Amino acid sequence: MTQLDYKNSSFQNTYAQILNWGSALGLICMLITFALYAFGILEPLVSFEKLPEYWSLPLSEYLEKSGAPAGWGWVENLSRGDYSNYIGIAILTSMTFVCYIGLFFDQIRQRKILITILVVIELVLFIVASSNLLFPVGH
Amino acid sequence: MNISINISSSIFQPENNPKYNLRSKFTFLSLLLFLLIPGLVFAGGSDLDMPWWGWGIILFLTTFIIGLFGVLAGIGGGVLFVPLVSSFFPFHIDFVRGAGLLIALGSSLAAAPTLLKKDLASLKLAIPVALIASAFSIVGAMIGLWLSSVNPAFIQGSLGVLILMIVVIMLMAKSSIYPVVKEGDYLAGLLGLSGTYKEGATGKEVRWTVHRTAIGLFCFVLVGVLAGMFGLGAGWANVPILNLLMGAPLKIAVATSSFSLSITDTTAAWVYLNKGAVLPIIVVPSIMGIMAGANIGARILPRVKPTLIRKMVIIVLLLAGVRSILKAFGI
Repeated sequence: MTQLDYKNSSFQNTYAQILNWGSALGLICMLITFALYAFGILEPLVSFEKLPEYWSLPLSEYLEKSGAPAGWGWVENLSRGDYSNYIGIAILTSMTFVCYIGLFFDQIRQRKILITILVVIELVLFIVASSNLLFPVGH
Repeated sequence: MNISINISSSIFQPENNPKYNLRSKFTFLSLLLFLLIPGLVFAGGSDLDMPWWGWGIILFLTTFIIGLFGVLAGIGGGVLFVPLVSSFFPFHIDFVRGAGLLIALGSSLAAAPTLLKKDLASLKLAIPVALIASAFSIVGAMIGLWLSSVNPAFIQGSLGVLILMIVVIMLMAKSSIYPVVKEGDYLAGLLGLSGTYKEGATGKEVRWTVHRTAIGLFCFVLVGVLAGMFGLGAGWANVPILNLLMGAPLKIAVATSSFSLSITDTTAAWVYLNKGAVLPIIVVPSIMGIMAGANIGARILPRVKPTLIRKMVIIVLLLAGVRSILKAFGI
């Protein structure tokens, strides 16, 4: 029987702080870019007039007809109103990755090998999911 | 002592005071509104001639109410969002599932810092749980997008069946505030799945660990697949597994489930993002609406009768599940 350690993770508070600031930043970005998009300050890639025609289509058909990018193609279109919203979305979907980088170094410092391995596997999963390498689509 | 009670009654205690009539009226009117909005949209159907911003406003109002009632009923917003919006709005289910994942992610990110700081969400417990769920959420996301490309009716019908199963789980599920775990098993010790938190009401420090770790972690394979496939937050499955099967105290199970969604849904959300299945016009009003609703819901939580709300949410889920199945058959 392994001795149980009832102490909570020493990194828990730091993790919470990073999430707190990161998600606030993501939401603020999302609000600003959506206002720029909705009020027509930034021209969208897919026009508002065409949008109701496209949003009921299956994904493949939507991409084909609208000319919207898949994969990392959104990065090239960040100056467009609709795709500028991806900045906030990308921040929200990257916060856990940032926290896990910090967690990795914390676990290394504490020489917790098994947990470090689990953290590394999770980081690899984030990279695989976000890289678009495993199931490549788009440009 | 193992105290088994219903989840809703364990977390929310109805108040017994003269203002209750007013509160129950408020609850009743709110519930009517909750049922009314999707009903109106459904009546109009996808052919409703409305500009894009009109749909944006209706989506914001609907998700506000979903966020409000999600908190009051003790379930995540994602599980209500996907069946309701895919059934009653004109958006294709591919975009609704992408938005559903981002909503669950946004809600989890908003709640996680507080839960972690109060030691209610356990980082140690979340690491292996979320690793398994997130690995299989990628698989689920790929299966979901593939099935949808073959025939969207497959995914719409499966979603309907799943929602009906969730209704059954919500009706049957019990919980245990402090499950009896005599000693953690070998795997729990190896992974350090134990911790301490302070009970708010008594100030007493509670030490906890888990058991049946291997079988519990295995269950998160299915949780991950379902979360990725349908874009649902999976609190409805996480909490019973962590609490009833693995023996984590109810508060730890609820908070860790909520926090672990921020990890699990991140991987699946990136798959949808890369596939181009994220439409800002759906995602942004929905995230804002659900977070605003959840915020208000948390404030009025002590003033409303939760059991009635929970029953009404179950009815709405039942309707959404049946509607999803009918939509799959083109009815």
